[in-house]
Amino acid sequence: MKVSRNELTASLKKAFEGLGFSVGDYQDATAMVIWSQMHGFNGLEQLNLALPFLNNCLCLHAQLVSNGDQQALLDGQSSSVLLCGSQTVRLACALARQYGHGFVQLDNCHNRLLIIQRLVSAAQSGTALAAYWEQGSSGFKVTIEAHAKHPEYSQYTLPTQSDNQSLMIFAGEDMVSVEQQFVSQISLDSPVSRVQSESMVDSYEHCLEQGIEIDETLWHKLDNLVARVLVESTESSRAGAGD
Amino acid sequence: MRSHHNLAGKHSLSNSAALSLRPASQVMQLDRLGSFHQSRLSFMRTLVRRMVKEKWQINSTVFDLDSEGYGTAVYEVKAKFGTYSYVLFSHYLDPENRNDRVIANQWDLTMALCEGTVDAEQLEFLRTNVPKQEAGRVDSRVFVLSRGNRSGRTFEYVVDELANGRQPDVDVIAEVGYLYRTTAAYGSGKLGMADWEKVRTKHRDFARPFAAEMFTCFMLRHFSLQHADYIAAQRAPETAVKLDDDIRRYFGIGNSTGLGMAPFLINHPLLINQWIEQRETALARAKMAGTDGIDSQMLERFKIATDRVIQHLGEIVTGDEKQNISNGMVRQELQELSQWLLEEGDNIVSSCYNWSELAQYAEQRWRVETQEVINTLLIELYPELVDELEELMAVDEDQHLVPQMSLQELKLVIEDKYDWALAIDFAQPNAQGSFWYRSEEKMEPRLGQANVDMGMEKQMPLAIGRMVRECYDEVCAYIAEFPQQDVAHFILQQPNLSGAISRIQTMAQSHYGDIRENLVHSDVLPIHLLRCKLSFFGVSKFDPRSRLWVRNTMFQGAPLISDFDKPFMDDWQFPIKPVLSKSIDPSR
Repeated sequence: MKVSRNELTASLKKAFEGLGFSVGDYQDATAMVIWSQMHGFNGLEQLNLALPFLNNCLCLHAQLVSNGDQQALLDGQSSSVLLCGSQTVRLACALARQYGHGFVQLDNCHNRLLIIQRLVSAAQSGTALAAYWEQGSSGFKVTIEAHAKHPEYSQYTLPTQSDNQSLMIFAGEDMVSVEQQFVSQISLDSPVSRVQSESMVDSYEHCLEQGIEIDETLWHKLDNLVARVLVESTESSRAGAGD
Repeated sequence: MRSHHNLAGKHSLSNSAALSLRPASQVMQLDRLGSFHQSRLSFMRTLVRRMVKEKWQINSTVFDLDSEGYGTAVYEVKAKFGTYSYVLFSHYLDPENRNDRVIANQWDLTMALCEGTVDAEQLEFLRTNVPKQEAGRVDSRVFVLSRGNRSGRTFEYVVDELANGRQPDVDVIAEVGYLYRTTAAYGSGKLGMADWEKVRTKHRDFARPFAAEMFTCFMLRHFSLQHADYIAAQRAPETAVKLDDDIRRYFGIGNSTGLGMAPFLINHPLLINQWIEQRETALARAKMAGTDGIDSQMLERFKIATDRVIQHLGEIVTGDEKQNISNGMVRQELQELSQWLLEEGDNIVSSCYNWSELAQYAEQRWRVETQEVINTLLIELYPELVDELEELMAVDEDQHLVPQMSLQELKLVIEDKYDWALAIDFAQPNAQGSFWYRSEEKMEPRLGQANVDMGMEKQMPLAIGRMVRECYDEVCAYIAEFPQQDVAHFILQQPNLSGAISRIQTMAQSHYGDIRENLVHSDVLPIHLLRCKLSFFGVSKFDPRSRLWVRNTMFQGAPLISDFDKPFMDDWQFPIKPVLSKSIDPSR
């Protein structure tokens, strides 16, 4: 079935609220899923995979492990980027504003692909950013220049399998500064694939024009989560609507 | 109005003061927002101006109704930038099932506004889904889904009169104002419809907020008039007459608005700020235009407009005693104003009395609603200064958290911009006596009583004042321990406050910010929220049915489609009974 972005936004906000997310969290999580879906990064599939864990995660956020000048280490407590991603990116941006550049590593977290929207949002405030994570035999790098509307997304082949569950965020005044930080910590060969901004725009325009395809089973799962925030209707409650 | 006479000729306000926008502390009070009337910037007004200016062509391509008036109608709409279709289904509805609440599931009429022309296949798809409303699904070719119910008081009466060769009595129409009332107009992507962003970026004819929804209601009005003519002619082809054009213009569309509209104002603070800022800019420009005095022509126009409002308010029929008393008092104060304009007109002109002085006088002496009527009338006087603002009613609604802001600065921001929230004592017994929640019945928003109604643990986060207070207390406590820390580190400790901080930091950058009211107080009056939004829509004749919902009239007095190619005065606000030409004899 197809739904509109506005419709999916309303449903996701309430569904995340039903999972126990606070106001800021459900707004951010909704934005992350929808951006990924509309720009061709399968946000809804990511969400579908994450839902069983979100149901049991007690809405855990990132915890500060260590904090030095220009860098910090966070523990994601096996939670989702939907809950920890905003904190991580914001901390990196704050460090960059204070010191010229910032680096934050978030360990032990999931659904890292969904972080892209948070980078795009943060870039609008004038910070250049890069994110990097590994999964299986692949490395993933996302970069976005300050004030840019779309990121660059690249996939790399790793020499060995990785079970690293970290997400690394680099922030700076511009991409030169960010890349300097990046190469000082991570060495990569040429990417095996890239997603260009043009294909992201095409995907977005298609979703806007035709609606967003969503699996009916997932839609019903969301409905069930939404039901958690609804209150049983009684004769007396109808008085609260003006009867 | 002796004291007012004394004001004439004085320059109690400086020009620079008259140039500035009114402060948020004055404008954003809920009772003032609930006293707003429609203005030149209201969405119905701007839509009508656009349709007339651009000479939109609207013709029915299908009018397939049976002798009882049930069936299908399709109108093709040729606007400046595109073609659209307005599709309507007329159904038999047992009067027992006629219900204006959102929980209803049957209606007399259901309709959809679609992009492009509608072919037979799409029409069948719409016929299957549109009558179901919330229980159906449409697609991104549809902009708006709406429905309407007949007025039990006027529809049959008007049809009978027409069938018997008579025009309906204007006094009877005045008591209601419409043949049909709409109970919802869904847009913005609900139920599979086109996203607002699609409409805004790809269909310029409807690229202003709520333009497509307002157009749908305008078309319902057009159909309702055709419908009455049609059924009368079917019943009595030998004797039936058509509605006179002056009477047609005096019909609007009824509207019932309940709590569903209230959360919108809280959940879209940047948009509401934008609307109010444009209205206040219009008012400031109007006052500025009269800084050096008011000429006799402008004064005469102002007096005519004032007298029109006096008549308009006198013609409102409502069973709500409080509203009746309010209308009476506003009329009394406007009559005082009218009398002063009549008696002192020459002095006002010669002494360079200005609008700011009048507004100041009104603020000191008259009710808030009278003040806002006067403000609306001032805006009305200067279309050349105001109308361009209609293009500025949309805004990017993203809220952004500023992680590098120091907590000390955040604390100062709260103290400066949310002093009203910090002044609320939430420990008082009634301060948290209400809560807002969504019912499982169509997710209808409802207002519950704390410790009486179920669902408090699921309440919607609409208590902005309380949210700010909780955030402020946590910020102060954290500062005591970490005085040099920033917001990014704070939300690592208090992640659940990121939404509050994001809103505070964002709204602090706006001119008017949040609505200044404790929305969970036992005595909160949600009807003010409804009326504020309805004023921006452009409705008139507020008829409160309780503190939770209000009936009103849309497009009453507006031009007809057949008027689009005639000279247009754009003066249909505050509709009054038409004076019928001699050729019409209602008692014939």
